[in-house]
Amino acid sequence: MHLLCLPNEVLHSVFFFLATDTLLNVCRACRRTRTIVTQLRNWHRQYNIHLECQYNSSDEFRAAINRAMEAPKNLVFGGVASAFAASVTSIDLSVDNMAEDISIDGELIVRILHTFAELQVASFRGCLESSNSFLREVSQNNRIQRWANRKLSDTRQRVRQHIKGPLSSSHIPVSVAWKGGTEIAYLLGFSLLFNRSNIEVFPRLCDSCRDEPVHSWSTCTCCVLCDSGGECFGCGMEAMPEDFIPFLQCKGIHCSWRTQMCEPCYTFVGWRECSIADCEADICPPCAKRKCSRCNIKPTKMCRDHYDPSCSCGPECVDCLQTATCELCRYGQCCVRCQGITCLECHRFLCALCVTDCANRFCRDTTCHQCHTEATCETRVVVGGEGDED
Amino acid sequence: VDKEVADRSVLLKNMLEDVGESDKPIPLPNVTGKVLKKVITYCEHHRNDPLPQPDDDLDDTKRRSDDIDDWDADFIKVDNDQLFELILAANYMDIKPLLDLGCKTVANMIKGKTPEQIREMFNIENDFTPEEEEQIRKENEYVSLPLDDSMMLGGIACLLYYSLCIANQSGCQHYHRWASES
Repeated sequence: MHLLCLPNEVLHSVFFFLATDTLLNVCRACRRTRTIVTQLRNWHRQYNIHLECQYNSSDEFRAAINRAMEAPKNLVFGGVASAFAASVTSIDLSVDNMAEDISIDGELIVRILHTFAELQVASFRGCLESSNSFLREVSQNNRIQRWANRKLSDTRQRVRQHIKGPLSSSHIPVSVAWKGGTEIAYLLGFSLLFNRSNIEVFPRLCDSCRDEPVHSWSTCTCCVLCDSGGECFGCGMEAMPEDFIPFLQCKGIHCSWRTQMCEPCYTFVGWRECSIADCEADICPPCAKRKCSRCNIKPTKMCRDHYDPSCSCGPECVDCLQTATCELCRYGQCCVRCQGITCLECHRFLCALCVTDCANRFCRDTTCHQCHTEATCETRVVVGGEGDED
Repeated sequence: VDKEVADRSVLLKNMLEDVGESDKPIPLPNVTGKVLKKVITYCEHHRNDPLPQPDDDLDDTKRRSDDIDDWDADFIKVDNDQLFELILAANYMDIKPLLDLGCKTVANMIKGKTPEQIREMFNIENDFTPEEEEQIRKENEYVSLPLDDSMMLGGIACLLYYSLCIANQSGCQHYHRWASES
């Protein structure tokens, strides 16, 4: 007895449990399996793309996604790409069950969103390469705005969403509004999109007031207008009145995310304290994962108080971070690599504000306010000129 | 067998309702004694489970095949012949949870397998003609993203550069003679 001894309706039930990439392989086994797969209910009505969680590398995973995206249009719709694209309403590429960390780049996700215009639910849990790369991709040419404002067919057209303000890695929209009643549930499905990657740019109702939208890495959170003060968003345990759980405000660089969690939960999900000694500023998981711009190995875990936003080097880990205080004004804490300037005369370390550039355009010397004189400059110009003549 | 156990099968339940209180045996011509024993073992273990609802099939979240509990996983550890017989029996006797268990087990066996491995595992004969094979291969091959002009030019430049490098490294006599004479 073998598989094909089973009647068609049973084979339908078997194949019902297979994801898109495996179904494509089943199609290639023999004519009968190919016929059954093309007749599967879930390939026609409300088409879904799923992938098996059995990949060992990002390349394999990415190739499977591409196969799943491209192949069914030939298989089921005889090459009518638009019919196929319009029939896909749900994509689930979550990698919750995979042993290894398998990521795909933001460009591929943007392509998926672009291809399937009728998509209502998309889940990419845990497989985004990084939130920054994704935001970089979606912010190009207002892609996400256009996608969010696309015209949906029939009744779903009533659900409209408007993202106000530009979307970029440094600017996550602060306000999203939409109209509609029950269709909001469709949009809430998008919250799955960034659960594991700790970013949310799609609308999600505030858990407290159920009216205002929120944008936070946290799966459950409140809008800025609400102050729930109730249960922990992580474990759901309600605190006693005397143990009020305060909001955690991230003090990461360019970050203003916040959540409300008890101590075990917020440590568990990845909130960290600033790694500078005696600094107790909280940093959210995305900020804590940020890699050092110099060694690119260690996480920075640096709060914005210990990072100079004008520094061009980017955030550095504690080992690579080299700053010094301006020895003249005793105020500015400067990055030694990109901003530290030593006075040629007194050899003191200067911040940018205390450096005096010579008015003489031939003179490239930098001196501090106190050491700079016209006399020293004239001397250097003369010496330089003699050197040139020699 | 208790009525409660027999009621797990929709077929038996309906037949029992039809015949009413009777000691007459109910024929099950499509199920062997060995398989029936396994089916009864399953039904006895799950006698208190809630009966499946008709709309369960429509729920897309029920597509998971990795949610088999330990007892069921141990129960279904049988050879392929017996597995398919169990599935056929569950289908005939209309025992939805057992049918799902069997289908999930087969689906788990198929997952991640290439077409060749699927054929080998289930003794399936490849009945595609070479032309059909070629067509299917084309359908399933990865469609790469179109390259833009700058990438194309870059690629051509790289090819030319590597061609020159290879010619130089392999001691192309004509190239060296021409270079030294000129």
